[in-house]
Amino acid sequence: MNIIEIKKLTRIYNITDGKELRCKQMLYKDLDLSISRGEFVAIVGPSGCGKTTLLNIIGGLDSIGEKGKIKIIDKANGNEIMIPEAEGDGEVIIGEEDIAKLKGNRKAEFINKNIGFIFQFHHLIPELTALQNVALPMKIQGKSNREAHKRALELLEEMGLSGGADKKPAVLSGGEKQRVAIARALINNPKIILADEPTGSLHPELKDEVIELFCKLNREKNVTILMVTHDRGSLYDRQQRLRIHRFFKLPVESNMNGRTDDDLKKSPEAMECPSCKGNQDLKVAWCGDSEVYFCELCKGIWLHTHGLGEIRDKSLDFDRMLSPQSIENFKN
Amino acid sequence: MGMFEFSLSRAIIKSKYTIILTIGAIVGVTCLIVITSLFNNYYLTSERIFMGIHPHICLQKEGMTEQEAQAAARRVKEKFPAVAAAEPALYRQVPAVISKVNKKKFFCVRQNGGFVCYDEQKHPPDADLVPRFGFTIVEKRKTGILIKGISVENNETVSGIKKIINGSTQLDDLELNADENNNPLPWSLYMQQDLFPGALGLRDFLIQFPGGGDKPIHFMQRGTLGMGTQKGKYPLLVMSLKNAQECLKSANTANTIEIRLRDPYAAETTARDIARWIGTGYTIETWIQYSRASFAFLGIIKIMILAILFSISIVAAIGMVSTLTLIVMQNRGKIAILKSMGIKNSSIYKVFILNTSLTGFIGTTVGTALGYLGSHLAIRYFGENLRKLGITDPRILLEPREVLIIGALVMALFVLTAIIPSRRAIAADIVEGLQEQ
Repeated sequence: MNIIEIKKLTRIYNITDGKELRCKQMLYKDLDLSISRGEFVAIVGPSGCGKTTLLNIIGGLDSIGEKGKIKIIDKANGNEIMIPEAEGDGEVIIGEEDIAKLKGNRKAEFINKNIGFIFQFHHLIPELTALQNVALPMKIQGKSNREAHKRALELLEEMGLSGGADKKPAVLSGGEKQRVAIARALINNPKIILADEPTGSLHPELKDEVIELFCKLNREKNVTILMVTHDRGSLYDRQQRLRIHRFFKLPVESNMNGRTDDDLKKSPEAMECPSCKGNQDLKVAWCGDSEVYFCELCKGIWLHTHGLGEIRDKSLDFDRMLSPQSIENFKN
Repeated sequence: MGMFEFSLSRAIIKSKYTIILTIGAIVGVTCLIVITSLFNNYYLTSERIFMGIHPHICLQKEGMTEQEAQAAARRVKEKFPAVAAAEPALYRQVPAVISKVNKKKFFCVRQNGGFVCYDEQKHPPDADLVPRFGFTIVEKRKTGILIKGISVENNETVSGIKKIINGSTQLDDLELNADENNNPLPWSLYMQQDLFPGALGLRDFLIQFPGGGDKPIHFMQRGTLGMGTQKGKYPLLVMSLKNAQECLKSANTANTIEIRLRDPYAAETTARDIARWIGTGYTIETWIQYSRASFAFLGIIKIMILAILFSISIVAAIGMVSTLTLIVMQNRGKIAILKSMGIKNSSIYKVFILNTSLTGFIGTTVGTALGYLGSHLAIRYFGENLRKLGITDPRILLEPREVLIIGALVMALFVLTAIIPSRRAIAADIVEGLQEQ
């Protein structure tokens, strides 16, 4: 029985230069994904391909349809118009509920009861102790302080953190913080755990520890786990031992036109950035894996660079960041 | 109920902001209480002044002798138990020249039955000098003046005018002045329409009017100022009936019967009863009719004060909304974390509303206590200044209803200011918030 059912999910971002729409970047097109109850699925894929977005959409933190607003100048008549920052379509069914149709308190209750989030940077509330952080979701549910603290303490003990219950996050180590975050995600016995790069900020030795913990939870409590990760290689190695059921590799066809990272590395020129079609100005699109990024300047010039985050953040100034010489060098 | 949200508010809203908002609330409520108390003092004093200037009821009829007026007054007093006192008076409107003057000491030498006077520095060195007081005119204007010649019995008048005299309440003490020829002048009170009577200290005025004779009559008066003392467009000059008859060359004449009532607020009813009984020929006015414009003026002041306080409250509210919105912006990450755990919108409202309600409650409670203390201290240390402003008997004047209204308004303001930031927190994008954290 499927606990998560994604049908024809499409997400498109409108990329502007602050004045005009430069291109539409398609993150997913008609993405389908089914996850059965009790599965442990690792979502892998290159940076920027939408792993976290997918997790946020499944968890109800991000909307499927139109989102955000940006003001641009309509080229046709020079008037200012508002367009959504992102738009999309599709269905995300969790259990029997269409998450897109849940609103307000019903949605909040659904998230609180069914979903536990674990983030890369723990996202603990620094003013609260470990115990108070863990107890939060239960208190949100309306349970008494006593009941919530009792359960939180049990979980902290389970995580081997009973001694740190009264400590604030600032004095906990990275691994301890992540275990507190895991305890917090588990306190309401959710059906699904959504973990966004939970090992991303941890020391290599601690990574194994956290992954082991997930596997234990999955094995012993039959919790469905969706985990976004960059540590694809190490997970492949541990697949058998850690019982990760399968990897879901996000297709990046919109960015990469159906080619894999390897294809892309081999012949980037063959790629097409559909979002740039029809535009005469220099455009930026990004595709690639975590190490190397291929970006197309829409006049048919391809660039290869490092540091996707930097490019994404400064995408609007990207053409200015690159000297004509670097473009020429790349072409040659 | 709400304990969870309250504990959460302590995590989201830093205590420094709560302290700043609480101090703001305390200062605001304290000021409101002190201002309300002072205004109540002012209102009460003004009411007393109006009653002091005007008799409660005035019966006017031209062509009466003093004896006829006296007899009519006696009949009214006998007929109506509500009447505490009734005496004849002479009211007359005359043109006049009013000058503000400064008193000056001169040194005079007797010469031909009169005096030749010099400034202190310029008098002849060996002369037999007699010190005298004269006046230098500061400001002069032509106007009309309403003279009220009233009956004075044992230093008391029907209108109880002593209540509004700044300084001495002995009417005879006012007869300290003399004209240029050192003749004592009749006492009188000159009243000018000023907002803050005597704020700059007592003033001296020189008043000239024809008085029916060849020579103008000069009066040197201590200026006793008060709101609502003007009748029509003319200022008042109040003096004894005898002096008024003399000045106006109207011996043995009276045209008014001044009536004091046991209950001033029964003036309208009693005036109607007297009118029915006394028949035609009399014009009847009550103190309420005289002072209607003045009370309207006071009402306007009250509205203006409320409007100013309301404007200040709006500015304070905008400040609070900005501060709370800033808190929301600074805590978007924490709010996003809570939303990712499924916190309800109502809980987010409670987080802010509980915090501001507590702030408002502490502000109101402490502010009210400090307001009482502030009113007490204001009276203790600035009592003299308040007296100069016309508040002759300053004291803490606050009705429980007023304190409750202030408290309710402050609480409502604090609760309402939490709504906009709460809505912003609810509308904040979770993904962006998590990225910021």
